[in-house]
Amino acid sequence: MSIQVENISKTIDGRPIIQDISFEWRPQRIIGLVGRNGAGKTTLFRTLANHYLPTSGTLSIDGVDVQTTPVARQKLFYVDTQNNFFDGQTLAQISALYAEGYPKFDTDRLKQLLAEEQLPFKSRYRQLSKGQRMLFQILLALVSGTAYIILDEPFDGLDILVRERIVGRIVNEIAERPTSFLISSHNLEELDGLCDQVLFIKDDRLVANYDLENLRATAKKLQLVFPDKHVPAVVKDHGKLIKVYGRVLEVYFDHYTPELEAELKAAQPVMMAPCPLTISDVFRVKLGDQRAVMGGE
Amino acid sequence: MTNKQVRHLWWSQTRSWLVWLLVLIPVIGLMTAVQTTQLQRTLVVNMTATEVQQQRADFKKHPNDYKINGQRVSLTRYNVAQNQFFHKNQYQPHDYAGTPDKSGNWGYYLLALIGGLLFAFWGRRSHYYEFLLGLGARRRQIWRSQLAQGGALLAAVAVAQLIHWGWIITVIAPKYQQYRDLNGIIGNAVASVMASGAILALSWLIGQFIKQFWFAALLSFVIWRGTVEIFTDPATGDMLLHQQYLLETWWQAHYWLTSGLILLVMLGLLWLGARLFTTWTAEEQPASHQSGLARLLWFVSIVIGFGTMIGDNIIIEISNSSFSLTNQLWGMLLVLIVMLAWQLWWSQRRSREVAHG
Repeated sequence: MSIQVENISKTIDGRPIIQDISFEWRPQRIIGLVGRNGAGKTTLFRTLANHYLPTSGTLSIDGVDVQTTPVARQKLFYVDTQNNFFDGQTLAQISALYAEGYPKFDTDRLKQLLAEEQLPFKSRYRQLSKGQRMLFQILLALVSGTAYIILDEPFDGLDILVRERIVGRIVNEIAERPTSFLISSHNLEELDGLCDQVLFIKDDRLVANYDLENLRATAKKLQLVFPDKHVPAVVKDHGKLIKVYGRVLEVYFDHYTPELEAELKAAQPVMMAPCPLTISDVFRVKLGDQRAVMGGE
Repeated sequence: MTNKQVRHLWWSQTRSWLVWLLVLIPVIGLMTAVQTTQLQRTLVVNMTATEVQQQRADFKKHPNDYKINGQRVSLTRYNVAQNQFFHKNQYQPHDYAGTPDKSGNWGYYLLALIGGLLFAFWGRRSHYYEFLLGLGARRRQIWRSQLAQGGALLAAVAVAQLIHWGWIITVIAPKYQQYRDLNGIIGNAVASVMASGAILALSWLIGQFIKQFWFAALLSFVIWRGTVEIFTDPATGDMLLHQQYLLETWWQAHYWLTSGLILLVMLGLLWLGARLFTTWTAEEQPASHQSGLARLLWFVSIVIGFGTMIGDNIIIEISNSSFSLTNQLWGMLLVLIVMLAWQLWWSQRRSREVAHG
């Protein structure tokens, strides 16, 4: 039970926009897709959703090839932000349309969630603010009854309060239902603490695919302060320096074992405190300077 | 997704504009019929008292001027014969004057053209195609739903024709319908329905490979206009049929042949449209990066559309030929040369760009 993306490529106007993208999207996971603006994130989503015909590659959902069985796409939810047909309609009308398309669509739950968010069911889509529109699209996704949900830049341009509400909804959904998310962002920090897996896309290719759960099981980030400026050999040999604040070192250890911990303690640090491992840390350690990928340099 | 689900989802969103077209078409049929019968009433039935007196006086003075088939007849019989709504042998190829006024058909044709453009553009511009494809609808299912709507529009044209002729036949007094040829009326009504279908299929097809609505509308219009010119040019009729009568009348007299030929054209255009739509993808591609079929259609449609227009409006001024077709062919040749030259220049420029990295 998973989505298998295999060697998806898309060329537009003679220019490759995404090339040979492959990854597995397992259930009940939140995957972050990170890349700078124009890296090909939306093109990948539109190709997965069959808006664009892929130049090559295949997509199978729960073992079913969507090319031969397109109805399998009903397990995948993606709202394109450019949907103009929403504009003239009320939220109730849009909801009725989605209810016709998705067999497990839960209209009652949508009404309840809209009431919680103080969005009137009868209000017109065009009257909503940008944040409210995104919130409504996410609520549509949550009640669609689909196993796989794509959210394209859901936090883009939203204030912190709306962002927190959206994150809360996503986390609750994962906890309560067998749903999984593929969320894109051009900002690493937005996805910190939210994703189980992160994909990096650069120059139209997938350059990294990290399972944060696996990483967190073996890797550790520590804040270390040693009595003098000399960095002990154990840190140099086994760790990767992430940041330095005066004499405080933030160090990432890829394979943190009890033996390594004993060696570190033997170096007599003044302070040795574990820190949460973030996507930004993984990014720095695995891919080097953030600007190299996010800045496209 | 089942065909029924796709059809229902498609109709649910397109109903708003489709209903307007479905209502407007029969309204045109009724309006043109009312206009026709009012005109007939004004000209024939409602002669003023002065006009009646003047005619009586003239009849007394010059009774020999009032003949039918060489026979002197009463004034009443003469007036009835003169004011027949349908002409004798109306749908015969040699009849010049008997061609019925078909100007009302332009209304149907225009709405069919708009309908075809809406089929091509609405789903794309609203991104509703993407919504349906994301749900697992197949492209050919969407196309079939649109085809069903096209069928509904043609049914509306047929209803409009029925209303039009039904009104005329009901309202005009039977004594003025002595030469009514029901077969001819029905045959020409069918030909008008087929012509509406062909125009709808044409603009639907053109809208699929032209991205700008206004340009697709213009190109569809000029191709339609040029094609009508080619097939109704009197000089061409004279050359082909060796008789001095209007080619348009010939087509109207051979209404089943006309209907059949237009049906073939319509089916061909629909087939091409279906071929294009099964490979439709949402990204905006310039013509140079579209499929081979789309590029070929783009080329051919520009050559026919603008070539015939240039032939009929510019080349005719400098040419000695009275044949529309000759002028149009010269026009098409001219546009073809310009297009090929542009294509060559563009290819060379692109090669230079590639060579310079």
